[in-house]
Amino acid sequence: MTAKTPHPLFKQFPAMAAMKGLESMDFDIWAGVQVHKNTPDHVVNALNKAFYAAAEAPETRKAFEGSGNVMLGARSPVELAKVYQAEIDRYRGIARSINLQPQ
Amino acid sequence: MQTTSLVRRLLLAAATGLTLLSAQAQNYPSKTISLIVPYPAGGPSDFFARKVQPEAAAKLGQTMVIENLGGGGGSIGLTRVVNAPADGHTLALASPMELVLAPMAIQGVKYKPEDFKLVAQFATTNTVLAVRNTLNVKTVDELLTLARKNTGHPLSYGSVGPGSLYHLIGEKFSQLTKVEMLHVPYKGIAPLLSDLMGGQIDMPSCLWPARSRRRSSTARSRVWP
Repeated sequence: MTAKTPHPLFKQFPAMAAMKGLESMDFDIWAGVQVHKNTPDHVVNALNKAFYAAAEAPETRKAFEGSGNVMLGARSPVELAKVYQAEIDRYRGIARSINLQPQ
Repeated sequence: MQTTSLVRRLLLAAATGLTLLSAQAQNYPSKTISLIVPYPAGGPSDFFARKVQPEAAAKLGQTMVIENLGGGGGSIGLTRVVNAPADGHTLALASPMELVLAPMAIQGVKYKPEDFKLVAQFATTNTVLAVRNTLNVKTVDELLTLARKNTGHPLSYGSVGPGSLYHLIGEKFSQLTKVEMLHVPYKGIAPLLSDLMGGQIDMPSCLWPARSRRRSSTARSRVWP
């Protein structure tokens, strides 16, 4: 597991980032719904509500969590804009740390 | 007389056009919505899309179709979204791999992450490293010993394309352990898994826990660590 601590559902996988010399093997990934940046606010709001209603439905939640995902909870488009910018910066940093070059 | 009539008709057409435009803005969605998964069917993005699609479509009161458009580390699917009208009828189920890393890793990807707006972020997960069963290694140390013995024949690892998180993890692991590894890019998790099971690739592929659990239950490849 590329994490500092073992995953509660997958305790059989040791945490790699807890091993000596492998401390930076701590990676996670998320998924979301994206639209073109010029999409009008009322459309963004409608999609935000519809997709969070879908994700928060009990069976969907169960399916996500059962496969090792940690639910992040519903947030407004304004909050998500801040989250997104922070994530862009974080992943750019990871890419630079291994000197990722275009090919 | 004819001119007046033409002008009147043009004005009327313009007014109708304006009415239609404002009605369209109020009546979103007005046609089938396309939810683009930038990978072949069977991977994690596809899993998320198929779970949320029925309920999201019902809430919006419109048909929503999932389109699997793989290739270019997910950039082909996302390019479709930036080139489509910004009216919310073309969506992507995406991760930072395609949004942030693909434009940094692949020449010719024209978009940047700021060209998109995040409308919903669902869940986060860590990845696991796995190796094929026939490598006969059970721990990180055993793997490293094997890798160091095989000088001149680097172990290969699969990813879903240059700049994918899996590629980054492989590179990071190689950098930290000073073990040379061969990167083999795939179009998605599904084709990568079939090659791993077929033994075409040797070595760690970085997968989501859900996938590896399924694999370990088939006992065809060992989950590690």
